[in-house]
Amino acid sequence: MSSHPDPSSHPDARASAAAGTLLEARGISKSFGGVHALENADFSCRTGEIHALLGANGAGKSTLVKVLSGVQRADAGTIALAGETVSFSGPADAARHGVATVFQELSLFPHLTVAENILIGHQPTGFLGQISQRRMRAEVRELFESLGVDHIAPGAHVADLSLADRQLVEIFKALSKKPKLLILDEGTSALGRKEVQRLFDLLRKLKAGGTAVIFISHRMSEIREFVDRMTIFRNGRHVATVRAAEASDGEIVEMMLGQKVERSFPAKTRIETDAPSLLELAGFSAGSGLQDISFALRRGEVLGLAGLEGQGQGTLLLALFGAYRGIRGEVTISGRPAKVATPWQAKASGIALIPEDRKTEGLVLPMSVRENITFSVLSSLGRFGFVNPTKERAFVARMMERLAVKAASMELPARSLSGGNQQKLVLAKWLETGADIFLFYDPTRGIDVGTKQAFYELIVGLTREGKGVILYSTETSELIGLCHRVAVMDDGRIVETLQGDDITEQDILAAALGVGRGRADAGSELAEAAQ
Amino acid sequence: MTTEMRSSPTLASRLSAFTRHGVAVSYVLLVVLIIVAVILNPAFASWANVKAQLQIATFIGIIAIGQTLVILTGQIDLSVPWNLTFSSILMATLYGQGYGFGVAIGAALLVGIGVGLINAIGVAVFRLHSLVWTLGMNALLEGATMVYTNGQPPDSTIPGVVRFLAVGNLGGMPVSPLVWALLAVVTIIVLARSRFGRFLYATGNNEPALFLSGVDTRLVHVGAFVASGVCAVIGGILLTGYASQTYLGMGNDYLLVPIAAVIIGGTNIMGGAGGYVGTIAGTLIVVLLQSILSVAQIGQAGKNIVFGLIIIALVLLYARQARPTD
Repeated sequence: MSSHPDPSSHPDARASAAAGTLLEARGISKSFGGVHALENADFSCRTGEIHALLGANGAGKSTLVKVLSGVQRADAGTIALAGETVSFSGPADAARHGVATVFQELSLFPHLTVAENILIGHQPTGFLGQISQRRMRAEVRELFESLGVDHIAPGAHVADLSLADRQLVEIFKALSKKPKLLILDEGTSALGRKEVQRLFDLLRKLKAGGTAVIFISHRMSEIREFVDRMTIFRNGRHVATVRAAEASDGEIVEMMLGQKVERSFPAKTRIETDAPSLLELAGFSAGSGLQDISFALRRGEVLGLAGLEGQGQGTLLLALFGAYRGIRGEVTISGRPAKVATPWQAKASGIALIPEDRKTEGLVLPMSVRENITFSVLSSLGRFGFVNPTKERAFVARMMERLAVKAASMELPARSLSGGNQQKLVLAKWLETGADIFLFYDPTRGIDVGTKQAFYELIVGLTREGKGVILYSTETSELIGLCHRVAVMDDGRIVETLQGDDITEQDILAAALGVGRGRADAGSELAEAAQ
Repeated sequence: MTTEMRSSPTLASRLSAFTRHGVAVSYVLLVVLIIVAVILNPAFASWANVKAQLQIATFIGIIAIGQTLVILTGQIDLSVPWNLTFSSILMATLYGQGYGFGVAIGAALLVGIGVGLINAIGVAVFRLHSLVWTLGMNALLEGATMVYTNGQPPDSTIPGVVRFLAVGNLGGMPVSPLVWALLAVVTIIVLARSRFGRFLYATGNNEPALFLSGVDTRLVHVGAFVASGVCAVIGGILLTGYASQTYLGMGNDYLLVPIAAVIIGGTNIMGGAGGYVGTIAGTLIVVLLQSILSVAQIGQAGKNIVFGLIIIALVLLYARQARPTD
């Protein structure tokens, strides 16, 4: 990484940082029921380094994080912090020892302000002991200045922020405790490219100040440029710790999976030149979030949505599914005018939605796998408003087999499944609703490499059946690998539609940043900068 | 000492595993109460007393059907008391004016359906919380009743069929508990086997996810609130037959007691978990408890304190298991 701008990641600088081991975990074991989540696992990291923790789902990353952050107690093993053996009684105790953690699930209070969320639990108080709003905002403003954050107002309500900004607030909340060790579990899953860049600029500043950062992410290609070392876990054990520059993507994936896997995209379905258009939008608008969207989707086609985070891609998918009010414009499905003012009308028109957040929008987590798979097709599984249990179980078994859902029983709550399997449930409920148009909102966010691959196959499989797919993804490689065309969005509009060989990282980024194709050179420079 | 220290966490964990099934807790509590009652007064076990207790339980149990459905969706119906009172008075007055019992009962049921619809519109269309909306509805119905009766106790003429349903006998069995049993069976089957039942639980757990599955969640609220409105009316009609009269404020005792029965029966007050099987135990518990406290010569104030304590204790117990464990 000779182009790396930060001097602190220079090999010499790194060697000097190597002197201080901050965290040393040895022989950590933890099991749940009969399942060994961690088995005699070792992990260590140094002061002033950014250390990535990688592994497929179920590798034990999250459990390790929970043990290191005091959420769970290990069955066996020792943890030493700066040479001193520690045993945390809980996350608050860990924070007192200088270990702050940002978990996969966001834990913010939506109706409190950014400042209130960041300082929760250690708010500055006035002389009567009351919480001082003024000092709180000042303190957060100071924190933001030191980190170079200028796009989030300390007084804004968290509910009004985008998912990406909420994730940043979550990180600031951890930083406000001035930790020696910061652990980010899936810290970039909601972030677009620019935000990831911004986050790592921030992490480098922390690192320069001697803070160690442990970083967990599935988006390996995006983070590896920024991290110093990587530790790979598999099946609850430590496999290897390597310098980020030393191993190739392929080698790392191989270590994660334990077998050589070609991570490639299935061949795109060929669309006949005379393929009928399945969905046509003309002047489709929703408030100020979506303006004058027009396009046609053909049978067998995957249309990608790209652009910076929050430019109306999510609004477009939700509006098409009837989940927005006040929509204007014409929707034509298979040549006939269609009304999609509500989700049930959209469903009846043959539209399916895999929404942004599977945990809050896609699934009813406490209910069973069986119940979650059948919400959209329940009326076809019985008569007179009643459900035929035999039919239902047969249907669920068939869907679970078709999508290779890994669950010990269809009666388990959806909550107990891994992220990838949960996402499969969200897709499963739509497969036999007769839907022709599938809307995917970042379907592979936070799921492991193997399941991502399965999703690519499923998406291409849908197009082979003549269905149309609209795919929004925060991973540009997915758009390039899967889409026939990519519509780049900015500020609620489609600013450019790329096709065939024109779908490249440079072109997508250039269009997203509004630098245009005439300045392709500028685009490629930006693409490099973003890496 | 050592053994005690070791056994206490296992006891706690066993207790929490047990309370995960609120229904089981409520039935154990019911059995304990029956034993206590019989010890206090062996005449409790007499057929005459059992009949009397079931008679009282019927009103609470039927109203609690609707309340169970509404609470499962994460809402609550506070319009029961004056819905019950208004519809019962309307029925008795119409019958007294010479309309047939079919018209009189039909009009009462229409009131219940209308009240349920308006409640559902507030929750599902205007997205207001039912706590406020149905409370307003209750006040509105109270006002309507006052206007309708001029604030005077109404003259009540009770149709014979209502008397029969409320206090009649069928082959030695009192009729009203049979009515309750029939409605209970239907409720349990609907909750366990119907699409509507499935959607009730899903709405209470995560309404947005059901909405984004393409299900019209407004209709789920309509179903729950209309059921509650109708159950309140049926409860009121039976109560009218039982008391042989209607009176202003006859519904006042039927707001909190059925809600208590639902909660004691293990249905989560936040919605999404529980069911009518538990509510049956909850209903019998509140009735038995009232009866035991009366026998023990404890006044109304004392009864209220005991009820309050039991509800608080059970909510605390159930809240322990409601916390996500993963």
